[in-house]
Amino acid sequence: MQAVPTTILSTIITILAVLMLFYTSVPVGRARGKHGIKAPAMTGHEDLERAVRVHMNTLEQFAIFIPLLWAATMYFTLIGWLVPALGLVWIVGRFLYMQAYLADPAKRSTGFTITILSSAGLLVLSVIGVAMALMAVTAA
Amino acid sequence: MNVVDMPVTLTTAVVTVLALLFYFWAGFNVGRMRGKHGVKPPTMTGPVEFECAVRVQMNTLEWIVIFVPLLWLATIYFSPAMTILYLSWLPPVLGVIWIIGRWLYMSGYMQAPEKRETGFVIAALSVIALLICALIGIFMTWSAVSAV
Repeated sequence: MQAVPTTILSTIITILAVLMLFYTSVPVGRARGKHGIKAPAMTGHEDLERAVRVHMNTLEQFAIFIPLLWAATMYFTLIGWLVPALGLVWIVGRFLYMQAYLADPAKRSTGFTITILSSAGLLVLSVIGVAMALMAVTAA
Repeated sequence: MNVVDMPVTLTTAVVTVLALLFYFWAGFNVGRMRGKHGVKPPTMTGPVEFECAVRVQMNTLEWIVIFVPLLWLATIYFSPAMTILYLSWLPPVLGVIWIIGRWLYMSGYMQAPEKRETGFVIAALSVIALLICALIGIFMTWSAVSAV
């Protein structure tokens, strides 16, 4: 693969991100119980709808984040720790997003922006890493 | 050569990044339609154009979680095992077809919901082909390992 510590750190980040994704589903169940909204209903009270949106949006972002995290881990070897560090930023951003959105939907943008910037950073590192690997293969 | 450094694997990495960018764009389109029609979160319903954008993003999410693992399984197991007739390039080529199909799906759906089918079918066929490649590749690799 490459420098093993980076791979281990990215694995830890992946596990933490999975736990974060799971954590965003907890308020959905709690709001269902609190307001007596039975499945499969996805609407009925603002609390439930906010929780559902936090969960769905985190799932949407997760599908971008995990592949980019691993593309960058595999190919961007210049500064190994940078990739899992950006992964940690993503998790922090998602946590802030969740807290803010559940309190007030208008305040969701800070955490959201942190997440997007982290994914954009991973995208840039992936592209740099893949470009360098392609050049190395072509030159060989 | 390490599988990570193979040209096919690198091409799949590029295709993965492009597919993720497409998916990000589908999400961005929902935000754009929120602004255009004044649909505030957490509301997920409203004018048809907004709901079409939501459906495009959600359906792409539903498919991308199938597509990305199959693309990589096919690249890791099928490409190194299948070296005749450029067949090793099939997984990333199917990946490009998936993105084109999804793009047609999105542009069709945003014009009129009934125009979504062509792109949907193209992308679905690409996923089925990747599934077959992954299965063939895993079977071939497994046979080779057992024979040793």
